Amino acid sequence: MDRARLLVASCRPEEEPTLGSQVKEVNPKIMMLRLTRDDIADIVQAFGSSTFTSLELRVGAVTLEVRKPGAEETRPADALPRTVEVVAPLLGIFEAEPVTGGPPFVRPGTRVHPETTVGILHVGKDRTPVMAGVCGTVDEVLVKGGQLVEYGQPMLRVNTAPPDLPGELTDAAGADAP
Amino acid sequence: MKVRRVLIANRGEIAVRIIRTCRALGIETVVAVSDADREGLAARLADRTVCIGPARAAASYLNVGAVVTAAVGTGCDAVHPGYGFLAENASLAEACAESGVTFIGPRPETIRTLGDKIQARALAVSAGVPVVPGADDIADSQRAISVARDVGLPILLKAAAGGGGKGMQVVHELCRLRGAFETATAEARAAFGNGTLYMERLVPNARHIEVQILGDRHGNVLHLGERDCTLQRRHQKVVEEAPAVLISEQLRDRMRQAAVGLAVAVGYEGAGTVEFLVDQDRDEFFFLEVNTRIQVEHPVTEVLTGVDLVGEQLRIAAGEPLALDQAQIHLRGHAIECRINAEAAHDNFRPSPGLISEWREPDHAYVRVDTHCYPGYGVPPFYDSLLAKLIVVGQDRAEAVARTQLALSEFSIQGVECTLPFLRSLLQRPEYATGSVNTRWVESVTAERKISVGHEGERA
Repeated sequence: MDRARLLVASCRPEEEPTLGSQVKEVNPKIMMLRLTRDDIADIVQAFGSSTFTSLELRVGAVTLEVRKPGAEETRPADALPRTVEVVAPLLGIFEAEPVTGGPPFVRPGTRVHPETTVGILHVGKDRTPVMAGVCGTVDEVLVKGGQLVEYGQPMLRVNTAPPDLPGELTDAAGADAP
Repeated sequence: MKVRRVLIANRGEIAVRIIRTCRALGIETVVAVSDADREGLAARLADRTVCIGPARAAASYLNVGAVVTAAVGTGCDAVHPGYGFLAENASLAEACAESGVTFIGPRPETIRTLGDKIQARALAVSAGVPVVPGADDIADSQRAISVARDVGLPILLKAAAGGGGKGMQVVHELCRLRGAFETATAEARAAFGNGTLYMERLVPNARHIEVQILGDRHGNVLHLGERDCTLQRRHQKVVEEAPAVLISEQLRDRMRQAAVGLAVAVGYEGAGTVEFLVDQDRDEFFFLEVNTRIQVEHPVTEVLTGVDLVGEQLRIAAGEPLALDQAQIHLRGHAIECRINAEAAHDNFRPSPGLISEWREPDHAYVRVDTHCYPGYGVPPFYDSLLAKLIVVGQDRAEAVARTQLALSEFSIQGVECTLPFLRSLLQRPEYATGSVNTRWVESVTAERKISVGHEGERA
């Protein structure tokens, strides 16, 4: 717990800039979120006697990060998933092509950005376009036109590796999606 | 038309209940779940689960388009709406019809007529069923005062268009009527877009008694006796029983006949409940409303008659005639149902969702428990707090009460706060034993803290 104590010592809640006296007058509820040294000591003690190995807590401007000795960093910067699933935001019948006809909205290999329409979900008289929500290249379309798609069902796999890094792309192509 | 696969557009114990009957009848089940109910018991028992939306009921269990699309997309030929949510929504019944799916419930126009308080009351009057003295066209305070003089005080003002206590005012003195009218009409306009009110005599010493009816497409209508739902708290039923307690045989028979007459008048198709208010001081009964769905307390009737009401709903929806006639319906013994909710009774019935760490049900031949709960189940915070219904049957009321007390003492639920301690205490009151209660009794004893509403763990 030596490291935890050190981290607590480096937290200075008194100096946090956002919870000043003018805030106190406007919204007393915000003041309830203020952490004192004693609060932090209590939190660290509770953490210490728990089975968890790391803790990250943000209250206002205070960020408290505590890890037990030997615990590994859990969020390395390079661990972002390279393949993401685009899930259905509502239940509906999937339409892969525009109502007016033409090619499918997306196919494997199609470049998408967050606003790209990847398909339409049809419920009664409503047709709701589904956006990709991410930048990347379509790996796989998981649903077929005319199929019932449930809320939360994966519709596409999108490889989000930047295309201007050929090494990354090669890696992604060589590895199956998780 | 045969029903082969049913979409169940509901959750909790009633979804489980419907699946059980479907299985017994060899009908496949698809349960429509929200994101919060993917791991629920109904999802485990159904042949298929389809997620129709997020936890928020407005976007899932109340979403007509999603329910109908899910039914069509999974090849269901019928939709069972359960109770609550869309069960009395004529739009769902219509949308089902448009998509060629059978709605398990009355015709849309029946749901619409009976769902409108003023239309339902007019229908009752035309069918010769007594209604609470009052008027349904209170558009200004002058009219309110003249009607109040006729029916006598105290009176109740209610929104014509809605429920849930919105626009509801009780008036004991004529001088307060004008103010109450203005408040109620403003609330009604804000909540329902319609400020029209209806006024009726308030019955202070009332029982709530309802008659179970069944009607088929061939014009057959029968009743399955009544249920006494006098134990209520904030218009929510707490304990129900059958047959009704402390009413004359003549009144009982007249209510049953009135319910059948009303169902015949409207050409009722399906299972329904006609609710009455009984004035215990005058030995009179008045029509309240018709619920066009299966009700929470339907097992009380099932254990006395041996009729599977969900099974009858499925038969009727398939266009088959009722399997029984009135002469074959007999109520044997006495039944009591207790609703066990995840609520902390000692803290003003605060909802108490969470993880159920222990779940032990009483196990006797005379006990039935309808539930979706089990040890390790996480009660989600988004919905109704009903955990289980404990239904107990005895040869007579005294035996049913004693057995219910025993079953309540043997029921153990840990991890969430529940209303078991409250129910144990309520059923031990001498007024309950004699049956001399009215619809305000539960609230009066709760407010006076005459009954223990302590924690489950505090029990000796």
